[in-house]
Order: sequence, then C-alpha cells, then structure tokens
Amino acid sequence: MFILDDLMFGGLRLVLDGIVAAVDAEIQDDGALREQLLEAQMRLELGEIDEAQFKAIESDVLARMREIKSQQGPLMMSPHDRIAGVEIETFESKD
Amino acid sequence: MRKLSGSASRPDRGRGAVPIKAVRKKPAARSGKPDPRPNGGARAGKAAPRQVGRSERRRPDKTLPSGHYPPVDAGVAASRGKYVYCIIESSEPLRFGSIGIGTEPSEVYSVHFKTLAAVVSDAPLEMLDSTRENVLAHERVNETVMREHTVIPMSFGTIFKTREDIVELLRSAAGAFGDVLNKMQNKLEFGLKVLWDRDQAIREVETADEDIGRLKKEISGQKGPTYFARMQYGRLIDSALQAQSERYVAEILDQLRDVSVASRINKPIGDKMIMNAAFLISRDQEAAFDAKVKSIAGRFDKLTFKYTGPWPPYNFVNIRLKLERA
Repeated sequence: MFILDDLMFGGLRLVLDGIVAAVDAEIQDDGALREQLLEAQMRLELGEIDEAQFKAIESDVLARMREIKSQQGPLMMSPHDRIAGVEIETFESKD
Repeated sequence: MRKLSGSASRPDRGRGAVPIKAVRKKPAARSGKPDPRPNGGARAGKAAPRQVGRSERRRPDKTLPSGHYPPVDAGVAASRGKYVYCIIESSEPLRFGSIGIGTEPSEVYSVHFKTLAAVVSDAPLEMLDSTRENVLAHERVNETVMREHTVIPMSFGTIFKTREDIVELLRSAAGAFGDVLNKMQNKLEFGLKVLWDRDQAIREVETADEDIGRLKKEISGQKGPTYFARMQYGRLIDSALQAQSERYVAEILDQLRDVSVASRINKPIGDKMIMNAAFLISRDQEAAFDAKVKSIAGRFDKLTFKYTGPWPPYNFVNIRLKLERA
C-alpha cells in the first residue's frame, strides 16, 4: 500500500470555490485519521498485524472519516458547476 | 514487465517474513498479476478499442462473475456518474478492459476533447470510501494506462456526473493539461520509505554516546534514580536518535540526487519510519536509480527499505480545479 496519502492529495483535485478554506480545514481534521489508516496499512505490510486486525481498524477509521466528510457531501462535478480557476504546481526540477 | 522485476511474487502476507529490502513492488500488482504470458501485460494498454478481450483480463478475483459482464450501455449508465482516474494525451478512443473501481469491475474507457482524454469508468454517484480495494483499483487502472501514456493522475475519489462535465473539464484547462503532460513526459515517480529498528538504534546510541551511556549506568545503578537524570536521559536519547536519523536521510538523499530529476519529502508514517520520500525519475535514468537504491540498501543493512513504483507523478503534479457551484 503506502501510497494512499499520495492518491488522496496528490495529482489533480477538485475543490469547490468559496469553500476552499473549509475543505482545507477538513483535511486538517481528518489528518489524524488518515495517519491511523496509513500506519495500519504499514503494519499490515510489515506483518505486525493480520488481515482481520487491519480490516477492523480500517472500517473503524473509514466510518469516522465518513462522518467528517458527510458534512461536506460527495465531491463531484454537477451540471451547475463551473470551473472557476485552475491552480497548477509542478515540481520537475531540483529544489 | 520491467516494473515488476523480482517482486511480482512477493508474498503480501508478510507475516513473520524477513523485511524485504529494496524490493521494488507495486501493491496493485497483486490482484491482476503476475501475468504468466511474456506479452500479457502490455496488451491491456494498447489502443485497441474492443480488442481487449474480457476473458484475457480475467483476474483471480472472487468478486468476478464467470465471464459475463453487462455491456457498457449508455441507458444503464444514465443514473451513474463517471469516476475519473487520470488525464492523458490521445485523440483515439481507448478501452482498457474491466479493471475499474466497484464491486463488479467496471469497464474503463476514455472521454475526449481534441487531443486530450480522461480515463474513466461508470460508478455510482456517491461518496467513495478509501478502502484498500478501492484505492488499489484506482491505482491498477493508472498503472495500466501509464504503460503506454504519460499520465496526469487524478486524486482518489473524483466523480463527475456526466460525460459532458468531463469534456468541459478537459476543455477549460486544456492548455494547462498540455503543459503538464509535456513536463511529465518520460518521467516516472518512485517511492522510497526507510524504516529502522528503534530499539536497536537506541542501543547503538547508548554505546556510541558517552554521556548517554554514563547516564544510563547512573540511572540503573542507583536505587532511586533522580527524576532529573531520567529526564536528561530521555532528552539526550531523543536528540541523538533525531540526529542519527537525519544523518541517514541526508546521506541517502545525497546518493540519489544525481540519478533523479526531483524529490519530495513527506511526513514519515509511524515511529519506525525515518524517511518517506518520492522521486521523479526520467526514464533513461531508471536503471541507474534502481541500481543506486539497491546499492544503498546493501550498505545500510540495518535499515529496511520500501521501494515502490513506477507510479504516476502524484507527488510532482498538484492541480486544484476550483468549482463554482451555482
């Protein structure tokens, strides 16, 4: 596993204008949960916990994440939405 | 099948296994591969509409019914959204087989605007949990697509309501997507996570550092060690560990600088990890990078290296599309 974090926050992402700040705050809020999930995945890979133990942690963490996210609703694009701006950053040279 | 070299059969159970060092692996490969046919892997990525036989891509997945899938039908799909995996350059319609997200693997295909294409599959219009299965499915699709295309990866869980919305997305940011695709051409991301045995590191620090060693003796020798001595011992251990892990990380990064285009350091996960880095590699340096990672892993034999890839450039492309909701 090990790449969940990148999948969720790297690459191309949709955000609702006007509530960008709220979305960022939410990411802060569930940051601790994501860390728990990542750590569980790492421990599964290292063989420190088994599949069943992982599943238990996963469903618990996901349920709590869902609670946070449901306040925002699913992030999807509907016919009434308009793309108001594109922010692009790439990192293809040495720091 | 270069990317799976030596790792396709890595047991994912891991339990009790010796830590795998510097074995590059794709977690997503577990379900669909290894593909025993010498050519098997490349087939799915080919731009051959309708030609990707479903039976050819059949995977040992228990959720898979035996051979028959509902056809991709606009009518059936009407109540559903479209899950987007990535954006590529292509004016040809593409099909990648039934490898998409969902309890029943969905057909993955492309939606176009001029020379840009979004790789999508039909999915229910609802929030998608980041379960391992879902995340692996997302990754499996991107892995398949990137065999033949430069990919701008979409972050996990993005669903559009209609095909038209996706066309609008491609149209409205066409210039930017074109630029990013150019920049990322022939570049691959690799992940390198380094873990140590913290207890062993503490023991080493205790022997290597005179002050710490003396304090430890003092504490264990006395009947009632002072609070102060304990505090000081803890602080010294922490800072010695910190310094030691920073030395490791600096040395590893330094070794990899010449064989990578760029690197990004992410926050380590858990208390065993001392480095969590992503590297952008140009294809022609891939072998050199690979060799370097392996030689580093051989030299630091007390550390465990988790080496993964190639990935699409998740850590090196950051695009935020701001939506205005009417």
